[in-house]
Amino acid sequence: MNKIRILLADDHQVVREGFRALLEAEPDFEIVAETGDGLEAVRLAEHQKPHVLVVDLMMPGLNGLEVARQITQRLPRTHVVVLSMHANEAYVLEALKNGACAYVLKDASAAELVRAVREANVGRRYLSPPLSEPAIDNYIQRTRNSDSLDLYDTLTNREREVLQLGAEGHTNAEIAGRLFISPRTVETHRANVMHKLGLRSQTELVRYALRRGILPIEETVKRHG
Amino acid sequence: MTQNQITNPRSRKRAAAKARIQLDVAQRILEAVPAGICQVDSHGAISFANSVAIDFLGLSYDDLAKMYLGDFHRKVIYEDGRECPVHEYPVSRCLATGQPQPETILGVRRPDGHVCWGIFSALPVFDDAGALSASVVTFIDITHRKEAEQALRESEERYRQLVEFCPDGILIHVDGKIVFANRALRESVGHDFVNLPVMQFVHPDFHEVVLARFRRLNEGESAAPWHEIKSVRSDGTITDIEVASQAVALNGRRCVQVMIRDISERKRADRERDQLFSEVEAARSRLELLSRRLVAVQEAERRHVARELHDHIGQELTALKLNLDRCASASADASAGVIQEARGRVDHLVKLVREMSLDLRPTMLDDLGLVPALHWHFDRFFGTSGVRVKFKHTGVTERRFAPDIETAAYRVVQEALTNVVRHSGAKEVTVRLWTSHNSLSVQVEDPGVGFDPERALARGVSSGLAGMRERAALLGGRVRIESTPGSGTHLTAEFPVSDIPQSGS
Repeated sequence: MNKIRILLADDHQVVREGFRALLEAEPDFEIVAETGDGLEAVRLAEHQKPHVLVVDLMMPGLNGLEVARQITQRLPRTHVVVLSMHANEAYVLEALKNGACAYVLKDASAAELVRAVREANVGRRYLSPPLSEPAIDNYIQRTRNSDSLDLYDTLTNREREVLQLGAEGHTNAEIAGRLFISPRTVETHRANVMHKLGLRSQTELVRYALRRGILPIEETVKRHG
Repeated sequence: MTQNQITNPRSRKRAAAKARIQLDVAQRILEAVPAGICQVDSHGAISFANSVAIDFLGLSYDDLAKMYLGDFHRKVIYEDGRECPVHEYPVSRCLATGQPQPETILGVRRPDGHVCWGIFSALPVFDDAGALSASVVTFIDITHRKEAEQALRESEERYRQLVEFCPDGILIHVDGKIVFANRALRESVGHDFVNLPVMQFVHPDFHEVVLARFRRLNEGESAAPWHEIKSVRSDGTITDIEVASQAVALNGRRCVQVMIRDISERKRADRERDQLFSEVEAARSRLELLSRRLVAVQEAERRHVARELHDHIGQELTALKLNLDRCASASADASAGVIQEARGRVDHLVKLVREMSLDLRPTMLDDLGLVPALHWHFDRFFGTSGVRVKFKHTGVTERRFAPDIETAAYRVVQEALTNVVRHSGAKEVTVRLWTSHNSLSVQVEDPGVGFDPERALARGVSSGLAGMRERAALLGGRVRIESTPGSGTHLTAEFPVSDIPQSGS
């Protein structure tokens, strides 16, 4: 019978022994090596070429995510089961991104870990409840939407006014007169606008204003042309 | 009677004696008057000189008796130092015209080189036939007066030079009207101001002080000591100056001489020093406040952790121990239920410990970075406060920053959200995170009631705001709060970051 060769990496010895006993209770599981150090785990894996690496997310030397990334890159046959105390989609996502096949919560039942190892061994994904693929997808959707900041939104109302008047070619003194604030304040606002938008010159400011439709193109052409 | 007197030998003798007495008297008078008297005959020969004249001219009687007017050539000068030619001597003119000559001041160089000064006048003398026979020169010795005048003139010149070239400004005013200003003052003011009222140049704030000083000088005080005031020029420039006044006499009038020193440089340096000092002082007290707060925060955190450990974890562990005790004594059937209960307690304990650990520091911040940690925090924040966070970011997902920067950004957001819950009343908050030009910025915008950030800081009530500022400042960053009561708040924190994206994650 072909046993599932397992490398076990967890920095807490008590926890590691617990897991070892739990896994060795399965007749077709074989623990080929165990370690409490991330770097050591990578080295042992390259030497032993286990079927499954069971690795704790938190590891000294090299954390579990990085161990997973390196091993799945170098040993395509080895599948990784990540042990974690975090029932959090961000961790799961990060673990999956780093090549992990299964994500098991440390306070999950023994049966879950065994199941995760079996699933991982054949390259199937396993997530401890309440984690689930739909939950992960939901998280991805949610967070992807957030990655769309328009820097214009970071401007305060005052800064938007200064941006527009500045792009129209008014001097700080003129803007100050229009907005009933001091030229020094205008200068500060203008500097903040440039900084927030990552602009370095008046030309870039005008170009930005045109691109954003703050300055109508025809009018600008008329005025400057 | 006269005929008789002449013809009568006795009376002639008497007359002769009388004449001798008269001559004698005349000579005594001539010697007694304090004026020099000479007689010069029509040929220009000196025929008489009294002892005052002899002393004045520095000659002996014998020398003088042999001299003619021409011998004084090149020895007589006018007051202005020009040589007086012989024909211009009052006596020469008198002999030439037969007219009395008015008083003229002339100097005569004596053989010893000393110049004596006198007021000369000349009267014609006619013989019995009415012809001009001589001229009598009289003069008063004014050498002493002339020398005193000269000394005075020299002293005045020295004074003038001293005043004129003094590096401090000096002006003289009579009853408040400027009558003189020295070069330093003229050059510094840059325009003519003589005849202008002196008060025109005194800053209104100091009118009272300056007028009081004038009053005291007028009442007889001789000097008013150095005193700092501000001056104002016609162009409005205000200068810090130091003035000292002194009562002096000018042409017999009592006037005031004022010395003026420009101390604007010194004042500027003073102000700069004071400002630096107060900045250092403010920084020191901010630091003191911060360290006091740090200690307070640390203590509060410890108290919280201690309470959590005791109230929750301790209680659960006690209950768990009781479960185990019951298990030991219970029957197999009964213990199954107890074990089930114990497992529930263990689960709860695991959850409690995890929450506590996350409250102290979210491991996600270290493991996954700012964006996932913030997402996680916003979920939790919504769960506890009911305030929804709209999170938008750009350019930060695949980047990691220095741990202290990530921590600071995270804590600023955490603190700002806490403030939102406490003060703003907003039900939705927007958090923005972005990078630009080697900086990482985070912004928390809430549409709540808003506040006056400077006043909040000044009142010192918002230790949170001050804490954020200190945290950012320690990393070379800054926190800007734009808020107006009634229209919400923009809090923007900015941290400098190196532009090297981290490898790995």
